[in-house]
Amino acid sequence: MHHIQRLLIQHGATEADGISSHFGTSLTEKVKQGLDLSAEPDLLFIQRDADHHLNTPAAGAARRYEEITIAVQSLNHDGPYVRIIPVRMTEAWLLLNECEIRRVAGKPSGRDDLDLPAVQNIENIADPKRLLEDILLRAGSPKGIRRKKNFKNNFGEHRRQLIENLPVGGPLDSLDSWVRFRDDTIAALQALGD
Amino acid sequence: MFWPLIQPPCAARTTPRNCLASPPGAHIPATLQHLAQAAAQDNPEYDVYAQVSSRLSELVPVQGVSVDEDKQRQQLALEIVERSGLKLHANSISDGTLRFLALAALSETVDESMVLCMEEPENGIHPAKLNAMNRLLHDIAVDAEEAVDHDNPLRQVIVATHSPYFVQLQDKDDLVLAKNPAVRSSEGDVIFPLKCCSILGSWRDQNGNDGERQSSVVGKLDLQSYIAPPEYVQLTFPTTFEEVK
Repeated sequence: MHHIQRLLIQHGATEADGISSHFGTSLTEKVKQGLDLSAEPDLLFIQRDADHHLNTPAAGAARRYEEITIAVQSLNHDGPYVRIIPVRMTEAWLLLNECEIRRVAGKPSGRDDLDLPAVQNIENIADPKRLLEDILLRAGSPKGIRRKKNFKNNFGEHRRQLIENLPVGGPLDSLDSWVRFRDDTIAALQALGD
Repeated sequence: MFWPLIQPPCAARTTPRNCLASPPGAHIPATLQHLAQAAAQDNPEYDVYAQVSSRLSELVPVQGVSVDEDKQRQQLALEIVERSGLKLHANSISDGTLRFLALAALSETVDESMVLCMEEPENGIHPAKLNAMNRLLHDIAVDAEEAVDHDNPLRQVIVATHSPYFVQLQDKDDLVLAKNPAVRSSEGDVIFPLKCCSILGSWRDQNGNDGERQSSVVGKLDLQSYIAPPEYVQLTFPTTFEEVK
């Protein structure tokens, strides 16, 4: 949520506040619940990971793009909305910030080689979630069975903090999926201003 | 400006002075004694101790409340008699109960206009008894549907809470949600100041003369931490007959 807020302020908003919604099972239901339960939001952000190991990343993203469009149109929602489609998963976007990975893992001054993937390969990684888990483990290097187990169980929280502190810009601007999200957000913000 | 500070755990024993004129510190025994003396003059049939005891019974099984005066040591002590007959002094009852008792004593005062601010009334209170605390706080506040007078002094109660149950017990007209929106500062960076928002459909969510909303408004989604089960919940209550079977 914070990363979206910072992106909006960076591109002209004076104030940005939002809330996330996970209620509902199908995509359409989730969007509907989000709309019904909130107080007339100005902007809607709908996220679906590209996934789809069988397709190329681009094909996977295009399919999700279409799914979201159909879901929103079926609800007759005419306000601006932004599709967030990380390729192949959100975790891919979290693999670029080495400082933050080390901080979240509890060893900000750690020197272990994390073997982070090159930017140009990020969107081709089949399972970025698994890779992020391994990298975090290397960054934190918890000792002992109990600590290691607790560390692994805390992946959800590590992930949450990495998303919250996602640097808006920087190496992310080299990822097609991020750039698309960023540009769609700027366009939606401008549509609001009109 | 003078802000009385109520600190119940320290207030169990005190000197028998007129607490309403004394320095910061709520003195439960002195308050009760003062109220009882005032009632004896205005309305002899009104039993302050019985009223407070009845109120306290909503929380814990209590037979009676009294104030014991130790004239030699110049001290007043609060005494509570449980239904079982067990006598307890204020220093052996829980903080939550003591806070409730302090508020019950406060609710008996009349002619006192005030703004009462309270942090986390849910602390030390059994979830099933939270509504007793809730109603007590509502009773202390002025009845907005009646005229302000001796029996209905102008009193506002402002509560800060993190309790899902306490929030669920409120009408949306009585709720304000504190949020931290991202705001562009004058220097151009992003800060997260505190902002208070009203609930959609409440009296605060009214359009002004120019058609603009009077305040920031939030919907149920923003209250989900308080009204929906938490993420990773493990223990849930059956909601369908099938689940019970």
